[in-house]
Amino acid sequence: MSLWTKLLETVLPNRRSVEIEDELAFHVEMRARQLMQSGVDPDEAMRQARRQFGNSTKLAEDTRETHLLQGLSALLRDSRYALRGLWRRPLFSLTGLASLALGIGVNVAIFSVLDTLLLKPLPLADASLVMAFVESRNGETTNGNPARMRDYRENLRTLKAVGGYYGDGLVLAGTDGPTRLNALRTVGDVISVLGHTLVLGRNFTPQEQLGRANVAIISHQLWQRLFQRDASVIGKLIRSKGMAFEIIGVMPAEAALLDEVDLWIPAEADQQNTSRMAGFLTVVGRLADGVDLTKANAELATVAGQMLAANPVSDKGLAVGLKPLGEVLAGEARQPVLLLMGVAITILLLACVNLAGLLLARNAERAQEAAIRMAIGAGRAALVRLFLLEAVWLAIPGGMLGLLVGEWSFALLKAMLPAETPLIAAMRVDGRAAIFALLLTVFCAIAIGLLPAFEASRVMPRGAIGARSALLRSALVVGQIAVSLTLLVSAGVLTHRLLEARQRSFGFQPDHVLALSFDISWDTDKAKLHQFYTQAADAVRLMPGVISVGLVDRLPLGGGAQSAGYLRIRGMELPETQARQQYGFRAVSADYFTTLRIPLMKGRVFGEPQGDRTPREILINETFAQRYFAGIDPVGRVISYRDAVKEPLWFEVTGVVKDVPVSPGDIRPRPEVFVHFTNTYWAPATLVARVNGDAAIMTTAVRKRIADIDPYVLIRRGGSVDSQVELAWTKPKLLAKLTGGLSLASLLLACLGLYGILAGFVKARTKEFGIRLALGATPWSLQQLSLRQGIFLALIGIIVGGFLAVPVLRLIAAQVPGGEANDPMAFSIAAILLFFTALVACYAPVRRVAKLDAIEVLRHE
Amino acid sequence: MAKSKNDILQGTLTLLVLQAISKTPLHGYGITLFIEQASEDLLRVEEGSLYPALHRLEEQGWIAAEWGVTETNRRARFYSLTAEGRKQLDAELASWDRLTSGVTKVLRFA
Repeated sequence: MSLWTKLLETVLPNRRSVEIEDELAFHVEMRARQLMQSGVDPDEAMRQARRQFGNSTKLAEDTRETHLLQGLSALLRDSRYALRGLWRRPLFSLTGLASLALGIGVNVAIFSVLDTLLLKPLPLADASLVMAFVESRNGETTNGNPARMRDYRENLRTLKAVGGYYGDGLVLAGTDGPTRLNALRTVGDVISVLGHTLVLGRNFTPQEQLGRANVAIISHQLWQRLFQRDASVIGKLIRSKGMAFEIIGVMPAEAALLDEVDLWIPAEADQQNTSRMAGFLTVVGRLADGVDLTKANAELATVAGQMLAANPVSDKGLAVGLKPLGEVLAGEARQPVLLLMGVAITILLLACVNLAGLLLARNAERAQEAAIRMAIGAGRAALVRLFLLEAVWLAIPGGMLGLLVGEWSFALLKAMLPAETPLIAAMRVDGRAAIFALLLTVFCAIAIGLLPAFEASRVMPRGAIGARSALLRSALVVGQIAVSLTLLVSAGVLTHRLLEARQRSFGFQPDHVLALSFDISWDTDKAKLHQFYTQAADAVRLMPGVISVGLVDRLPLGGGAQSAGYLRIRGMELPETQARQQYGFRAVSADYFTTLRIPLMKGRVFGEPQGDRTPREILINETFAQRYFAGIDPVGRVISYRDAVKEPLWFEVTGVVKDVPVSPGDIRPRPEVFVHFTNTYWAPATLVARVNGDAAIMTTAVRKRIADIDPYVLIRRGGSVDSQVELAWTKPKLLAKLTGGLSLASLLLACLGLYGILAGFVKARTKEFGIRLALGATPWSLQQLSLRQGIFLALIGIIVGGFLAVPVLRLIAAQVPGGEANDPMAFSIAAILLFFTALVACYAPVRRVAKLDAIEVLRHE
Repeated sequence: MAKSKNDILQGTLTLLVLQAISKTPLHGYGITLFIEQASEDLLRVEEGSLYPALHRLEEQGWIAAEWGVTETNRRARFYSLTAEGRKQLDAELASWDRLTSGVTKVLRFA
């Protein structure tokens, strides 16, 4: 019999089993008739006949029911048995349900990302026809430029339309402060290539495409946000920094799924005439009717050859090919997402194998029931069906819960994906994900039910195959314990570090301080910028409730600082390695230190600018002083942080300030220097103010004040420093929680697996134990024997896990700096916790040994 | 539940079943009736043993089953002996004879 017919026969009640029910019913009926003939009344006769038939079994009841519903009822009855069996073992059922829901949920979440990224067509008309030009120069991928784009457009017959685009930003002034708009600058007819149909207005004319007119097509979202979907929006103007763009059209809603674009504007004329060497343009094309990719690529190869002949210098080493746009967008995200999916499927599979092992172990408890069922002619198929149904009834609610868990974990996953992940706006848990969940549910049901079902249906009970599968399961359990230990240790180390870091003082006082970070274009004129900062700081300082105002390029705890180049100390010969050692660098104003209350340990703060000149003075922190001026007074020394290739630029050290950690998890202080921002190329971007009262509330007023000074300055982030410090903790906190949750789930699975193996072990040796008991062995000695098996597996797992944890911890140390990579305390706690949990898991099956009655066991066989 | 005295000895059920249907096909209930009546109620067949035995014998190819209609017009499954089964019946009868004569001889000495 093939596997399939076997499976089908098991799941669907076949003709044979219906016949059996019929036959048995006939028997009971005949018996009743006989009783009636001897004078018993009909009801009583039927009852007696049934009682006599079933005797010790309750199953006769169900035989009657089978009469009513024939085939379906057999399935229902078995389902009821399966459900009753699950109900009777709440611990098993709940853990099974939880691990399935988690396993399926995580898979659904990852699938939703993968689906949008790799499987679904792009939200474009005839998306399969939209191709991207993938260009590379000497093997390195490069973007295109308008000159080459025009060559493609004019020479390729296999493409209907060719266009290019690049991202740009606009700042929009408004009553609530300025906002940033994401613009897509277009070259050629990109909108036709992408196949968007405007919901309002028109596409750019060929003349407008050349970039000489200030026209814009806005996104559906922007239309909604700024104009409340007013149809008279066409012809209105969008203003940004002295420029005004006339709105000529509105994009359809789905256009935003590709990328979060607020408006489409033709690239400026001079951008459209950059050199053939430039690389900033994404070039796309739409295949002409009836043309396939191979044909288009063949033509492109010819055209590229002609282009090289015509431009031997600029096009040298250039290679180009067409690829579906979706594939190109998925690009780098593809590999990690596939990897993630693989890991998730493996976890789910492990969960299934464990549950299967548990069901298998329960064969022991089932022996009696199986015997009775066989006795009334249930046959093996019915037994197999029962096991499969049990798996099905575990998998169905597991799958439904999994969909819910999937929804939650998807939100979490999406939040953790980098913002520049392609198509992120289009990702959602949808009907396709639900279908995937259904498939997973079926898969789980089969994976869980198959092994016990076949075991139950095997003609020869427990042969050599059993031994091999036992070995495999032992290996799985060892692996799971190892993984659990690794995760537990990781969670422990992370938590330990978090606690440690939180107890430490920051070296500054974050309370009652607000911070505003400005989003300023890198090419802003330096003099203007300094003027803005000085103006802003002065204005805020005069506001009521403000105590002091400072400026800094990056807040401490914001993660990282700029690092300075080559260190030179006048009158001191530094070894090359020491001169090149990394140290932090911050551009600040003098009152930054007083505002954050960073204590000055020695000397004084550098001087403020006087007119156009700022004194060349520098502050260092304690760690810097210890590293380079150990035992010497650094105040008055002269140093230069300029690159080695440049002439030194000397700064006098005026004082030493206390260390401030760079990021929340960072225990080791970093050496740092501070100079006045007017002395640097880098501009500060954050204004900090110490206020009386609530810093968060004060922020709104300060924002307004800044907007009065310059309505086009974007504020990237604003709020109390307290809340920003709290924010800095979110990632390590999330990481610790995630690892903790995973380790618990893994621990649970490992325990289930261990329980399953030991239960199987005890079951297989029940007869032997009975003989031993009869020969005078104490139950405790037999329990020890069984326990030893479990302890052995647990210990191997812990040892393997110990080795596994070392590289993982190193990885964590790199992610969350601070403390030693080796954390013996976390290690021992995890190992002890794991060991005792394993003992508990072993105890349940071993307890059964104590209850064995030698005589009963032997008679049983 | 205590086992009744007239339980059929392990291993003899096959012999009795084969013998019961050796003359004419019978349904399961008919087999129990036949054994009870022929033994003058000394032997009783447990249904829980009979049906598994019937299916086992059918799988071994000693008996064949067929749906038929009883005198009371009720659908029932009738069992009959196959050629293979007849051979088996002869073998079982021979071995039963050996067993009983052996046991009898031993008992005579006691």
